[in-house]
Amino acid sequence: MNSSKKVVLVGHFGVGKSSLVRRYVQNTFSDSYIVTIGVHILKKEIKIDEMDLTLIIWDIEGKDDIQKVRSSYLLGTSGFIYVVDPTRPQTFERFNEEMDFITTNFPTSKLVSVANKVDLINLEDFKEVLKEKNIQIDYFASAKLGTEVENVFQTIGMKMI
Amino acid sequence: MFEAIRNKYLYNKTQIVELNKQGIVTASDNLIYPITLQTSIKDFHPFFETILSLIGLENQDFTFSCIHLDVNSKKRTVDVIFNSGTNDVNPILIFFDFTEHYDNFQSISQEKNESILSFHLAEIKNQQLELEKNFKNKFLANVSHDLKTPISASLWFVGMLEKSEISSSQREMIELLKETTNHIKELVDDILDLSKIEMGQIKIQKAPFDFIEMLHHIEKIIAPKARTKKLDFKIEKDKNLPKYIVGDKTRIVQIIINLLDNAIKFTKKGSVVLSIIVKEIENNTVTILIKVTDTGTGIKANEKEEVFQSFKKLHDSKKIDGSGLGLSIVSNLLDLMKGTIDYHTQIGVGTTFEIEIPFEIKEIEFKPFEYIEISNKYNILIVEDDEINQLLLMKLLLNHGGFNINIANNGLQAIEMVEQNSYDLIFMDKEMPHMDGFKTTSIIRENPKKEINSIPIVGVSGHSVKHQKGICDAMGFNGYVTKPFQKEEIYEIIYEVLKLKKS
Repeated sequence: MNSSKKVVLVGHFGVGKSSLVRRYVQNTFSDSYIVTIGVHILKKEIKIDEMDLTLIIWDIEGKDDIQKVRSSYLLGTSGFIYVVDPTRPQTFERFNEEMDFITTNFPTSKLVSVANKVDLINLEDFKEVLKEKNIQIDYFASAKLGTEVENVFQTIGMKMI
Repeated sequence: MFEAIRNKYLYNKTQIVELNKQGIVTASDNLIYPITLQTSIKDFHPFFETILSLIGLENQDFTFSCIHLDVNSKKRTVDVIFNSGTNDVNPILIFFDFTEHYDNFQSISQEKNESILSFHLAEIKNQQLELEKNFKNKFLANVSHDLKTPISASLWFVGMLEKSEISSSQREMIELLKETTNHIKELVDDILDLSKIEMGQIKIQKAPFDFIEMLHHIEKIIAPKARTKKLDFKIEKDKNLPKYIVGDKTRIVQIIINLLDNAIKFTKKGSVVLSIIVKEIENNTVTILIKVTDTGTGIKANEKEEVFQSFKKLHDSKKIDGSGLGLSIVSNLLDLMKGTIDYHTQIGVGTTFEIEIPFEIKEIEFKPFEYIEISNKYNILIVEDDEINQLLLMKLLLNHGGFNINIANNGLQAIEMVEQNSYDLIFMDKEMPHMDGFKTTSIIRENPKKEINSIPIVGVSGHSVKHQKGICDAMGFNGYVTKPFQKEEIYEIIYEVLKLKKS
């Protein structure tokens, strides 16, 4: 049986949402930063426990507040991937509020959080910062190195079926 | 006419697509994209998967802006309106091609976001630099502070040795030792000062003082140094200079001495002149221009930017010593005083540093410090572990003539001594090893004998505190003085604590 699910990547601009998608779908990476305006939609077919699943991945423009995202982009979303950039504290200052907004307004949707660009930081120090701020991040990924990228999408896929 | 314009400019900018209830394309004018009829719209682009889930809704409009529909290497950015249709009417999709508009918007966003990212990165870098700078300043301040006591002790012992019977060759060596130690002291003082300034720990005091007397004091310090280098040194004073002004005398002396020391260092022959000029008097403010002119080496044009930077020594010559902090300290202190600094220089001719500082003028009737004659001497106990500080305080008290002095080297000794002798007042050092001043004071306060537990105690510390009264109340002190202290401060606190009245 094949089903398709819509996954939306959210988070501040410049956190690497497009890079994660490109690494996952096309297995490519570029260091240059190209701003996303509007939305790019890509498709990836995966298998979870022998089940075929098509991920319709919405790579939307970054916003510092999820409430500023065009509501039409979020219609029918089955899964959210919330991305932060550990090198810029501004991108996770309101992390818990953003999580609350998603779980309250999209109660049936699934959610995975990711800190991208971990190749640029001391991970242990960053985990300490998160602990101090009482922030729980699911994955520490690097689109540049490919670290954990597959697992992020695999996990949201598993949660959605 | 409109039809012609519409056809020319809007013809291929919109596309209308009709779907059936299953999302199969039943009609399309194909003005933007060629879409094959009788295929599912979701096969055209994954965006339309979302549309399929909305088909069952009754006659609703949905607008999706800025969708990148890249199909068969045709890259267009469109807005999409979707009407879900009714029982009788099929769902409709309308595309509006805004590619040029969105491309333009993308460039603007790119620029804006890049500048915000750069700002964020600069902010983070600044925070890191600030942290590193604070760490460095704290470290330097602590090390300098710890070095000060042994250096003072060395100088004290050198002074004692100097007064003893020694041979002329020993005197020469002692002279050299004194000079070297003094030099180390100056370096440590500079480092400590700059660290404190950068950490915002130096507050500019505002107290009235005698400006003319301050100049005499400076002359006494500088004239011998100039003489040693066979330089002419003179002070030129404006006749309109007010005698008394309000400011931080210690720091002003420091600024002027720093500039004069610098001038002497870089002048091999000729003169160093300190000129004090009243630039402006307005209401209660006088702006004083202080000029230090030398006939020294001058400052090269390429060194101009670095003159006031920390740890910058402009001259490579190893013969000219110093921390390289002097002008940086001057510049920082002037900032705190809302003053300015500038200089003019000519290689081989000399340099003139000009500083301007605004001071408040107050008509103050200066009263000399009023000493109280004490016929029946009071017994004072000094509790202090540091010998230099013991001597300093003892000398001040003995000079007054109204006090008998005993010294306890530590808290335990003090506790024994108060049992054995009768004291009118105790000076208690706050920081002592093994048992600090707080602990010693609390033990004395808990003594059952009234004549002991009620002895007035004045706390002495190297660290100034913001809420002296709070500290005194909490620790059982009757007063508090901060090192380094002036004799007047010590006498004043004794008069206050012992309730001695001035005539």
